[in-house]
Amino acid sequence: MDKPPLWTFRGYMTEAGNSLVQEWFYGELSIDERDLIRDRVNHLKYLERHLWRRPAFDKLEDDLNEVRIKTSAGPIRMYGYFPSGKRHSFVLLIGLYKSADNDRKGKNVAKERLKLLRQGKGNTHEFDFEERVTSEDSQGAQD
Amino acid sequence: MSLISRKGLLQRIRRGRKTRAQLVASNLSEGIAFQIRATRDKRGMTQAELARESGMTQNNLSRLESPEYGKQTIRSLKRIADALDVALVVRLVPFSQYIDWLSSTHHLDEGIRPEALAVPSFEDEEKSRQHEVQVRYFAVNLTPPVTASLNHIQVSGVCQFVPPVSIPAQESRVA
Repeated sequence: MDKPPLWTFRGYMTEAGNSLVQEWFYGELSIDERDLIRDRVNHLKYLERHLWRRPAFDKLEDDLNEVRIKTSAGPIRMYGYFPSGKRHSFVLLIGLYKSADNDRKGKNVAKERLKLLRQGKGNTHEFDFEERVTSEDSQGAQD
Repeated sequence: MSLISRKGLLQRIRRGRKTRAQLVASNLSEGIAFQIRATRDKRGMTQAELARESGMTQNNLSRLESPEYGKQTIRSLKRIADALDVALVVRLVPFSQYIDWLSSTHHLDEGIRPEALAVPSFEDEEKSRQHEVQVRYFAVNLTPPVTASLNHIQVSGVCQFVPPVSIPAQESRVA
């Protein structure tokens, strides 16, 4: 049997059931950017937590952490946290194109969502990194 | 469970040659960077120590431990492998084997043989549909007690299906 990964990735979900990070992943990013994120998490998922370090990952203030991805369009950040009750789970709170050196705005949204989750006002879902099949894919489109 | 499935990877490599090249480049950088870091960490070595053992600067080693650094040379990787006292494998493989590796799917590696030297291209494999050959087989897990006498052996066992594994067409077998 295949050895299961050490980590599972979850995404923030509002009280109303909107999977905001998941929607961003499929709605805002190009397919090449999604590929880069897939490759990153495909390796992170087998690494012990103490090996999640810069430049792929960084620990921020107030329990926040970031997965750092460099793309041709600029850096992408996925802010998240390690929920204390669940071992080997990482919850993605927000994903964005980083626009400032110190991304206060993005971090504040992440902190707000973390606060809501801790208050029980929101939920998480298993994050889906797989590409969704389109009619173009099924026709075997080539670059 | 895999976050990145074999099916998803198959869809990805079918998007085109450029996508396949990006997949290889990205995973080469990610894989070797995390592997060096994890191995060094397991040995309890600092970056400075491994750099010294490998005869390179700490800056160079730090770059090799970055998953976004794309300029690794075989020479520097050989030096790191030597310093860590591990082997280094650099070889061409068919995409069927590569996506098995990326998706943590078991793959039978038969070692050095003619097929491993002259590697089929993606197009060759697509023509023979090797990416999609899947074989179901039984796995028998033996559990105690196992008793044996001169005339017979009694075995208490569990017979179960295991997930399909991919085996290139010419190697297909049922165990």
